Amino acid sequence: MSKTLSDQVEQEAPAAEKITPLVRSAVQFAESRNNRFSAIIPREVDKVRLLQSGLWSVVSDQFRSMDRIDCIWADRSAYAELLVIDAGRGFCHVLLLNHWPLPALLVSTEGLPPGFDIRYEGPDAEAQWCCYRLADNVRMVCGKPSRDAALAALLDSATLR
Amino acid sequence: MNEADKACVLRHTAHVAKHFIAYRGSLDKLVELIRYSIGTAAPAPEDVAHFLRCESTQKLLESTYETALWCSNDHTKSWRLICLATTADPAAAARLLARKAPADACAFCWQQERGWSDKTLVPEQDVGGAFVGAVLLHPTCVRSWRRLRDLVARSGEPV
Repeated sequence: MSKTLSDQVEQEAPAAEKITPLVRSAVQFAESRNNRFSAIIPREVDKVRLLQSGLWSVVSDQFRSMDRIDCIWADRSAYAELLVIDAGRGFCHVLLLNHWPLPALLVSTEGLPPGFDIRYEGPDAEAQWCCYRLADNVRMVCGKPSRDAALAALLDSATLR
Repeated sequence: MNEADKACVLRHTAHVAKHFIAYRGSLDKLVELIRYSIGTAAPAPEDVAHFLRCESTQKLLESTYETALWCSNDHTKSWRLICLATTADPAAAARLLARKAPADACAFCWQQERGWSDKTLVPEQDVGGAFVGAVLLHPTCVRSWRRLRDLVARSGEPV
């Protein structure tokens, strides 16, 4: 028991060395040291291509290291945050911090599962926007006031889980 | 009017909007069209007119029933009923986007605002906040127009 205690004392000894505090000039406002840029990315650029130096070659001379770049895809399909590691004229090393794919457009066919159809069936309470299963023409959802609501109800239904 | 009547009027207003796509005229005529769509069970005309004048009704139509209804600010004080539903076909959307609207008309609903286009229409902005050409839109039509743009952009076809 006493041996372990003395061991602990020996281990704590180097931890007692003096901590050098940060000097006042080490801290600044983020705005005065680094910039935060916002970039519109063409829709054909993917996540891998985004990190390559060639994409930023024209604009990279305005970046400094530790700048952030907010990337907005032009078709609003995704949003990403980049951290500039190193930049100069014609090259730019960036790190992908975050990448959020934005929700799919419900109105388009990409949100609709295959084999279903959505139609407007008139103003009655149980008509309006309806979803049909094309295989047997069963009406899955009816009475929704908009196409989005009908599609959301269809995606919630138990047969598609 | 009870709740069932109100829901019925909302549904038939959306139906009339889908039929005419973009209507412009007096409120009396609009009420007549909606009551004709409902049929014999229609509420009294003054009740329908009062219900349509309510701001809550107009907001509900725009947010839930994909239908815009408002009274214009210009000297004609005409009522507008616009169907905000968009197509799901990217090719059709591209065709709609390629049409050239008159200079003082909304590009989505094509209703002309003679002499008032600077006050009632807003220029279209792309995702970066830059102005797109000379496209002018009603504030209510912006969302549907933007949705057509996104539909075409994500399908990968040239605009």
